[in-house]
Amino acid sequence: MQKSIVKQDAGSWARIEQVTVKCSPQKAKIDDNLAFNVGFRLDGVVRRNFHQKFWEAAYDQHDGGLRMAFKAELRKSGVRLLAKPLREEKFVRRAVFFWTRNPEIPHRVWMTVATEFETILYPKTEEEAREMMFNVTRSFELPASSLGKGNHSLGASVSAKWGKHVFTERGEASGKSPSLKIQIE
Amino acid sequence: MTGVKSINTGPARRIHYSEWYMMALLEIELPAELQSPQKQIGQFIRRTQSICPECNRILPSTVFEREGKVFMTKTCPEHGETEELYFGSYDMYQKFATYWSDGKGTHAPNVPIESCACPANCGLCSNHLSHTGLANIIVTNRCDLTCWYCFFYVKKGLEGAYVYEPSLDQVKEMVRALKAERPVPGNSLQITGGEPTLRPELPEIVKIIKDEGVDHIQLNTNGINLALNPNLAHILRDNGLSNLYMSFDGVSPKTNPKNHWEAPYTIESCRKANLGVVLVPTVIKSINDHELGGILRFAQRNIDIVRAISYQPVSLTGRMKKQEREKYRITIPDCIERIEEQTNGEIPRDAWFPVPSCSPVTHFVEAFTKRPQYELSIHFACGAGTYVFEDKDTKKMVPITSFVDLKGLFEYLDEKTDELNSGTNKYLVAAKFITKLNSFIEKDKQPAGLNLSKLLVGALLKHDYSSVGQFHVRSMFLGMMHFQDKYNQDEERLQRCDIHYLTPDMRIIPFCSFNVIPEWYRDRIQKKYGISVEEWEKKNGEKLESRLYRGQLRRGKHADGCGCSAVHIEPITGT
Repeated sequence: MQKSIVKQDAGSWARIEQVTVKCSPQKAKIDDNLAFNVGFRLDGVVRRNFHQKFWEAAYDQHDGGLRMAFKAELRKSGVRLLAKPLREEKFVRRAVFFWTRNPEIPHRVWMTVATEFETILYPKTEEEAREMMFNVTRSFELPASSLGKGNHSLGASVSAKWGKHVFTERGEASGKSPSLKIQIE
Repeated sequence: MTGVKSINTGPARRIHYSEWYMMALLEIELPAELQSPQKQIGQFIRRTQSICPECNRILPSTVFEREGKVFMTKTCPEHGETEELYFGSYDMYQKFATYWSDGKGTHAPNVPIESCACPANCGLCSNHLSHTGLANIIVTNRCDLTCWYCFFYVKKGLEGAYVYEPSLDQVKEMVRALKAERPVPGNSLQITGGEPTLRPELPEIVKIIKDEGVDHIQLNTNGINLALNPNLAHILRDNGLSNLYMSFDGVSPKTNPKNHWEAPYTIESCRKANLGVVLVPTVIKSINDHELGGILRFAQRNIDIVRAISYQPVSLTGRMKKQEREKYRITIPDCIERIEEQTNGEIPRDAWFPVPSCSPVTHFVEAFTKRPQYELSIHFACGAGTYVFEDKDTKKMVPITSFVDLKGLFEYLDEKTDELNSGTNKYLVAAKFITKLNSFIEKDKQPAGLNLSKLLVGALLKHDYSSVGQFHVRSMFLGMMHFQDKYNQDEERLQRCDIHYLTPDMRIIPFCSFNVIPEWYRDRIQKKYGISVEEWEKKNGEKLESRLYRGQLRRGKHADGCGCSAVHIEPITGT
């Protein structure tokens, strides 16, 4: 597990933890498609501050949400600074704070999580909300032929970026997964 | 009132004893755990609050998915459960919900209260979340038509029937209340009725509103008096009217008995006066939902003067049994799907976006200017819209989504808003925005004569809206607004409503309180500030019914270019 600390000039700090990459199958034939799952969690102040009292404080100052911009890359391991990633995906999760009329939620302001203008999630608890926002899994598909025959060592690089809000300064964090061995015949 | 209609079946019907028996039997047969509404539903989506359609009691309600559609259920301890279709497509609900964004509210409420009491005490209260997007001002509740589904005209002989016609001074004061809203003063107003053209002082009313500083004034009308008196369109335009908001329910006499014969003359009057027209079909399932594409074709044939179509799925007022509601109930996704079918896919469902999808644009301009801006922050389930352009060569309608990556653009604007709010230099952001903008627009697919990137830069960064006019060249806005009723009423939606009514007691009342609970709002206000029909007749020396339209323009052949020609229209191809 590797960690990275967010830039100190952000006035806050956060880290990306538990970056994992899994591949199915790990032993594949050249004609197969490889399914990768990259997972990670964002931890630190931005996560700790993400609770109902701050949602409400932000809402009351017309600070209506938190936009987390994520990037996940799949790379061959080794020193290849200028090499293009095998796959790169940018995606966004948006927390939207809103005045709820749900009689079962004992707060005025609650939140939903919107993913790339496609789906919306309604958390029931603050912890569930944090998991929806900051625990991330992303799937990739890659033809084995793009790697070629032989043994390969792959890894995932991930990063997160967010803006300034009532409960956090702007910031960014990044992390890398341990290497994953793949054999292609 | 034209444009906003409901089906009113009057008082509750007596339930036959066999129905009581069946209900009793069901209660006996259902296991206790299934009697909780939460146990009977499909996939749970969210909880909200609603009202009992019988007694207006505020009830917790559940919004849930079943068979690809979204429903609402609520149970009154006294009147039992009500289940109602809420949104005709779960997929579209999910997509629309992601644009949720609460507004700035209004900082100058007329009804200051500490705790939210929706739907009571509307006016606006300090808990309302949207400033006025469009204010309605009723200038008369008399009408020259007697449409079966309309709830909004004074009917002679009914107990408690009042003619409501605010004085010019009252109109002025109401407009001032609108302009006093903060942080965003109201700037868009609709004159409505009844039929507003029955009010002889209408040109003066338009002038008063314009003089008070309202930029956009539209007239909600059936258009008949403008067909009979083309000069009226000129006078109203000269006094400051922006456009007509004309009821137009279908393209055949059967679906649009109201103004089928007259609408072409009205449009011609407006054409000569250069007064834009918005067609407003009230969509009722099983009545006119098969003509939504035909309405679009009719509008396309008059695209030089028809600026928009505002489809309005019907709201069902009065007490209505579930089978009847299912017969008439239609929602925004249902209309969108029918338009896709009836235009042979020219306007696909993906072309539509919920009204609050404009929020990223507003937030970007606010972050750029550091000033609060006009914002359409209604609930995502209330309305939808898209822009369509006529292709010069094929004459097909081209939705904006076929040459603009709107989702990508909204996402990019959100990102830049974050940067601006985090302290990035605004000129740096502006430079990045200008550089990136073209990547969202496929210029080769853009309709000829339109330079969208130039227009967006002008509007968003320079606040120059003069170029926005070119957006309307051979283009139309297609909008959809589903007003609520007591069956599908959702307090979450009400709290975000931005279509309001101005009333002589200086309140600004959300549409879906004013009309959904008329006994608390509309009827009470009209009684308080109106006069009895008899008094009105005595005062004016005429009978109320003397102004009813007698169908003068119907005694002859259909007008050239009337809606009939759009009934069986194939897509127009070539010239």
